[in-house]
Amino acid sequence: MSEKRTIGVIGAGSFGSAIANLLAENNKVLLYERSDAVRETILRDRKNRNHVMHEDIEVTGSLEEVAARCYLIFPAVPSQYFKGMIIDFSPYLRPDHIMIHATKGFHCEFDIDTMKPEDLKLKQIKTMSELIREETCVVRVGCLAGPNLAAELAEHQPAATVIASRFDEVIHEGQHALRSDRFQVYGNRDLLGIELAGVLKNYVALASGALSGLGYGENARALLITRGMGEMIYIGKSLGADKRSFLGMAGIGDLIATCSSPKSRNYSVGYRVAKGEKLEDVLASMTEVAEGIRTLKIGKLIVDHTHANAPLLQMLNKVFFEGMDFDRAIKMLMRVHVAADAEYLDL
Amino acid sequence: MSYRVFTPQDYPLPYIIEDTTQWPIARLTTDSEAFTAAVQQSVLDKLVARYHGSEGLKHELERVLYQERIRLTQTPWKADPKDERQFWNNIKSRIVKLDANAGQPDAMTTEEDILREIVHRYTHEIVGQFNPAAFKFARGILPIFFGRVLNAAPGKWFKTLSANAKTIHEKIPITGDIEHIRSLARKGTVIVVPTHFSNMDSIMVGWVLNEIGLPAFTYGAGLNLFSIKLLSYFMSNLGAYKVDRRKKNGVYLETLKTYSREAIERGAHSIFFPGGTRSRSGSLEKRLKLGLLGTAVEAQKNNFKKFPDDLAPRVYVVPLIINYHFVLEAESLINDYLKETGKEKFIRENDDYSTSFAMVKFIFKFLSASSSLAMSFGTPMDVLGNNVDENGDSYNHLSQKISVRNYFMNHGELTDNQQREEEYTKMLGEKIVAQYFKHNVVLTSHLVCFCAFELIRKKYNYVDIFTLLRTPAEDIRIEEKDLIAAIGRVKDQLKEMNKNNEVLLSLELRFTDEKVIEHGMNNINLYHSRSPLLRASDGYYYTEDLKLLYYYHNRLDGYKLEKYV
Repeated sequence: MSEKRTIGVIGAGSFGSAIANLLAENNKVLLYERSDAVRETILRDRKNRNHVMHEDIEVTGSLEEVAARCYLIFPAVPSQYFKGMIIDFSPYLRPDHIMIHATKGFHCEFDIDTMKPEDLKLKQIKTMSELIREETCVVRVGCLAGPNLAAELAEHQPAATVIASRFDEVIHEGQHALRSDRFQVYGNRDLLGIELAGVLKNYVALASGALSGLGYGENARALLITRGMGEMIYIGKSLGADKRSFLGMAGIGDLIATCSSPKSRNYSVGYRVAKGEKLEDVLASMTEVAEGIRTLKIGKLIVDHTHANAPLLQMLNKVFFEGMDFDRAIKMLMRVHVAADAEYLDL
Repeated sequence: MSYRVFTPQDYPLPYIIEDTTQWPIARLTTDSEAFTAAVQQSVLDKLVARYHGSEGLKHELERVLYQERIRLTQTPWKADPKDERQFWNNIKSRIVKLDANAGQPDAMTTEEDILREIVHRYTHEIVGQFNPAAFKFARGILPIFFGRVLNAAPGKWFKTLSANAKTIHEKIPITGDIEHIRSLARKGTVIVVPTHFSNMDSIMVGWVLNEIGLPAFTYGAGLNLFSIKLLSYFMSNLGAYKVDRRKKNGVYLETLKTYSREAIERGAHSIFFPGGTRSRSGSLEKRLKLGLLGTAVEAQKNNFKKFPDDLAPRVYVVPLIINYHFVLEAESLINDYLKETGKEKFIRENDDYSTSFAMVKFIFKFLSASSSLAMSFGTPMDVLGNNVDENGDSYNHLSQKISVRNYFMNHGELTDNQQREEEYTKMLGEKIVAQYFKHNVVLTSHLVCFCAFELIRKKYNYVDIFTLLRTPAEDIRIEEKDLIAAIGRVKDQLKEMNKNNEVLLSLELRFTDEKVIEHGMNNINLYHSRSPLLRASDGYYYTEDLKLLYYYHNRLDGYKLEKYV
């Protein structure tokens, strides 16, 4: 290969830092971070949130510079801040930019705490790729999702991910940039399905943490993961995704990782709440966003609107926001009429 | 919308290029040999590269032969050349010889030779030409024919001489930003993508493009139409190329697409009917056939490859929505549709209008009965579906100025990528469909049929659509007050949508609800022998043909108006 390309990463959060490090093995990296303090720390210590930052990573506070120097850009910004970031970015972007986002959340055009399902228009709930398409002139858009716990990536453990896009070109670019001896990159053309898998698994992870907090073991977790995946397929299908996407790296793969690991943020929220802490206190004590809580609320709006079959999601909403206790919720879930095994594959 | 509006008296507008021999399509004919040679070479290169170093090319040839032999026996047409059988027998024996010669370096024939011969034949079958003399002749004679026919009720030819007869332009309003389209046609290649409801469409499109002063367009016309001598003369001299819908083999389709792409790259303005065939259900096309549309995207990319940015000729896409109060073929179309949805998949590619007489009769019936129809141009776009201003510059939905070349760039270089272009074509298709809905002109007949059918559907909501359509028509009646009320509500909603630029409304929609019903019914009942909707002396509304009512109702399908009925 001739001269190394410079790849952009937006957001030096935990996952953004992990991606920047992965990319830096094959490329030069330009990492955008809006906080002066964080940029200074990275420059001074070559360290950020438990990640030792690769020496080929440059840091910048200018989105314009990222657009001018990079053709391939990986935004990794929490979903609540994504729209603000992309609007700021938009004036500098061109149709020859390729964007692969790594944000596992929804954007909502309304206040999720006051919205009623009967007033909801599905168009008002957007995936990050839809936001990019709406707010910029970039059309070659993709997303990255999979069992990628940032802490394990930081330790250089072997892992895999999936890049989804309608454009094979985007998948190839992503693979070319990220692939290494210990990082496999799969491709998928079902962008919506992979984005939904990445988002929806968050609430299953919450439930998994709660099971551990309640002291339950692996039988219960296996039940949760298997039916959780089925539920994700029901919701995904109701929104137009392909069920197969939920059986791959970003679906079942990510579920197994986040539902088994105390390192996952969503898992630890569920765990602590089940141990008796108040949800508000748990959230207040965290430095990074747990997307699962937002996903619970938005997911409920979606299934109340589309009538997708999602008992777990409904019960979790009752437990986390309406004060139902865990034991009662589990009892009710265990009484749900069961269909044939793996019936979601026939959807 | 603020653009110059032309009055009926302004038409026809002067041609943007005075000298017809300088029209892009005329130059295509002058360079005909170089043009067809380029098409052939390009198809060969593409197919040979696709099957490079494998048995694939031979298998492809075998598939072509197999499909062509089936076509020869199962769907022979009068327009087919006499030596077809002989040609394909010859190809067959040469393919057989390939096996015998396999492995010999001095083999007489190669796969490539056979392919070249097939592509050569296809190209010469497809190729159209433009003859300025024939064009002048047509330009002189057609308006007279048009004008007469339009104004004459059957049997009353003398009426056309009357001074107060409506002119054709009063009968057929043309809407859209015409100046804008004219200025783009001076700067680049224009692709007009009309809706497709009737066999009349290609004639109407040709007419309207001539009226707004654009040079002749090239377009693919069904091969079957060329067996009609009169039509064949005009079409083959006015730039139409031949499309044989029976031939679905890979080599033929590739040749056809390459022909279209090369013509666009050489600046020939083109017409694509992106819906493929006529809309069977009567609703606006929601899914487009992307094959030919893709050639516009590819041609644009090739232009960028050949020229630096500011010099690369641009390709512009202009939707055109044609609205008829009634469609002559409505009965057979809706029957096809019902067969199709009823899982009877095979629709025969027929060659209706197989004589000049049948065709003229058809045109005459259409024009003489037609009280009014509307032709509405959409907003010009680039091949990605971005809007384009008068200077030909692209602006995206956020009004950011866009360099179209950038869409074809990867890491700073212009690259070929077929899958990327297929996705772009899909995006363009979505934009075209959105424009069809937005620039559709709602006529009184559409509104009346929509409301009437929805009222019936509501009343019989316990049966599915197929059962409903088989219900004896005499059992069905609609109360006048229900119909008037429904029309009022749907009209209000349409007006609301019109304010939001979601649909256009014909002038007659400003009438009172009662007048709207009368106007709509009168227009739709003009032609059909069995009325889709009529008012009986008892004050109720009846239908004599529920399927037809359904067909016309479908024109407002997709606007989510059902809940207002």
